[in-house]
Amino acid sequence: MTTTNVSTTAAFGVDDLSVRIGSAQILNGVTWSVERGETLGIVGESGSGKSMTVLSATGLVPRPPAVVTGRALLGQPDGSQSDLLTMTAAQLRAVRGRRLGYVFQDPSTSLNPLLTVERQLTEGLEYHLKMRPAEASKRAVELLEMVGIPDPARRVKNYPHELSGGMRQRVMIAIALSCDPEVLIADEPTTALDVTIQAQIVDIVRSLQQRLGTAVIWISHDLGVVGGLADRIVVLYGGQVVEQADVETLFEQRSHPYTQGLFAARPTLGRTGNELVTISGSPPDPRELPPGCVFYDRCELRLDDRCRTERPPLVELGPEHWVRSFCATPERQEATA
Amino acid sequence: MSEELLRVEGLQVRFPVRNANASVRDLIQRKGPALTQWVHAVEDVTFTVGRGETLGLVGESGSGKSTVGNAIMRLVPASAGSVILDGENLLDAKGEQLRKLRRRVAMVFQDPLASLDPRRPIDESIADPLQIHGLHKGRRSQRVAELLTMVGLPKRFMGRYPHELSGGQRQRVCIARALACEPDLIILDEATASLDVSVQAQVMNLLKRLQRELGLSFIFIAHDLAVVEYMSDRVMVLYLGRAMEVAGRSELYAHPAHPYTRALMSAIPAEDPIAERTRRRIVLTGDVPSPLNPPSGCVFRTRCPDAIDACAEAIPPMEVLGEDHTAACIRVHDLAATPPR
Repeated sequence: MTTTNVSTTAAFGVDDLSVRIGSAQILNGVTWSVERGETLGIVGESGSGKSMTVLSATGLVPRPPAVVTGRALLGQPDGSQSDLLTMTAAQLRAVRGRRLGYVFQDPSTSLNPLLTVERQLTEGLEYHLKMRPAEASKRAVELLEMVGIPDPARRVKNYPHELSGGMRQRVMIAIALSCDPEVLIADEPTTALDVTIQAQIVDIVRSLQQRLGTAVIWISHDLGVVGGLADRIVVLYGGQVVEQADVETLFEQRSHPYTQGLFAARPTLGRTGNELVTISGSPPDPRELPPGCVFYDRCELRLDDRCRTERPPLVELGPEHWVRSFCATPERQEATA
Repeated sequence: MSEELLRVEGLQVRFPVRNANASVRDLIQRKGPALTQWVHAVEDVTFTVGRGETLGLVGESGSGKSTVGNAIMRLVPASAGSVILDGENLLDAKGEQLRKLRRRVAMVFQDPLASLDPRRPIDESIADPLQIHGLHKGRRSQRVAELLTMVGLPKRFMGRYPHELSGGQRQRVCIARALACEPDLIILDEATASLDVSVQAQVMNLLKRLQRELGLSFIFIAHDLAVVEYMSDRVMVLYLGRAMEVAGRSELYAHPAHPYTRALMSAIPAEDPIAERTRRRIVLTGDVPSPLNPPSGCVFRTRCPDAIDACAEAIPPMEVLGEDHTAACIRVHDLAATPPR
């Protein structure tokens, strides 16, 4: 079978991950991995399964009702890889927050409104690293300083509502990095923030990654943000990987009709006048996925019979450039251009 | 510019809030800190919108861009200023006159699910303004069908409920409702912000087509500079309730003059990942100050990379930089010598 695999050196990766909830097929055979010090961007629209891929892989989707199959591999210090999907709740608790750090979209709902910033930072330090309270409090101030919060000794005593949105998100990043995780999972971390604050957060994550060598998984609907940050990009659509490549290749040789549409539909500075190219219709319902290509209903390059009935495999188009489409061959694209 | 439709002059909106630092003793003794503080949401904002023209209002959260739209519609009371629609002041209008004026301005909001009644079919929601203004009596369902067609929805959607539609379809319903009374002006408050990229492009194209066909004017409020550039003829940049820069679209994007506009543009990630990694960016430090207590002089000076002592002294006047290009910055002429980074 032609498919990508999780490399044996990966810090974290999912292998043939599928998630089903009731009659909805949320994810279907998703495979990606991220190396130490590398940033993987996961891009897709709402409902594409981009958040579900990390939530289900790290045991944050309740089973049942979800049926999760495949493997979620976390690299171990001895070079082996262990599967999170077979771990017990206690084993998972020892991994999450310690070796995997999370930053979610909305910092105001991710922080506990009843606890001070200090308590929320020290909790992980005391639980995972067995620090004493005094030591953890000192470390909390250092962590706030590291993410660029001015006057950290005073801010550490604040409650979340006393902080601005940008500061709350910096606190979230500080919590996520508090136990020196090997993997940072950032799920739309800047979507709720203003652009000038977004630029600050992107800078912080980039410089911390360079210093600490963390593997970063950055999930976003915005190709622009991911493009500047990621080394490699995975494009998800209808619960499947439709294209995967290093960032330069993806931007220069976008090959899946959906990836091409995403670029064309996105207004960018300096592109005015002409109508935006749109992708007609809307993403497929995970309860009624088409039998063939998941993008069939909205695709302008489709070949009628084959694309409708046969699901395209993930094919390696160039080195490390994978595409799931019958229409990504140069001949096909020229014929319809 | 085309014939003027709307003129907003010196618009000011302030909201009273209780001072959290004032105690009961202060209340009884009537001394200490003032009991009421004022949120300076919009201060001295002036602009015009021509017929068939789109004015983009862009700014970050707390910049007052939505409040400007709401104050024009009198959804929030303005503290000072005037809003003149075709010679009549909306802010003074009462009763029947206000109702007539309001018919000519419509609004579309960010979240279409929150703007539609979940318990009523969409055709009833679209017909509401017709009923309120007593229009198209006896043929309202025909009019609703026309409106659905205009926004690219099939007539069979009549009778459906909001939850049965996708986000993009719901936003089309809200646009149909805004068009129901044939307004001259539509205020679009982050109308495409909650939509996915591919659907957002559909809705933006629809809005442009409707504008061409019906000669509508738009006030397009958004935080996304690229979206605003695509939609607008002229753009006004707001920060902390004040206008920083106003210019024609191509002039503003080619020659941003105000340090805030420049920083805002530089914060947008470049399309090309290689260019993005190497380009120099202006990353602003800190957060937007509290509108309860805005900085003296220029409100942007606390985050401005080019601020000097004089910036704290007086509120900078709008400097004229060219035909239809003004910026509120005392250093704008010296900064013009340095190219935008």
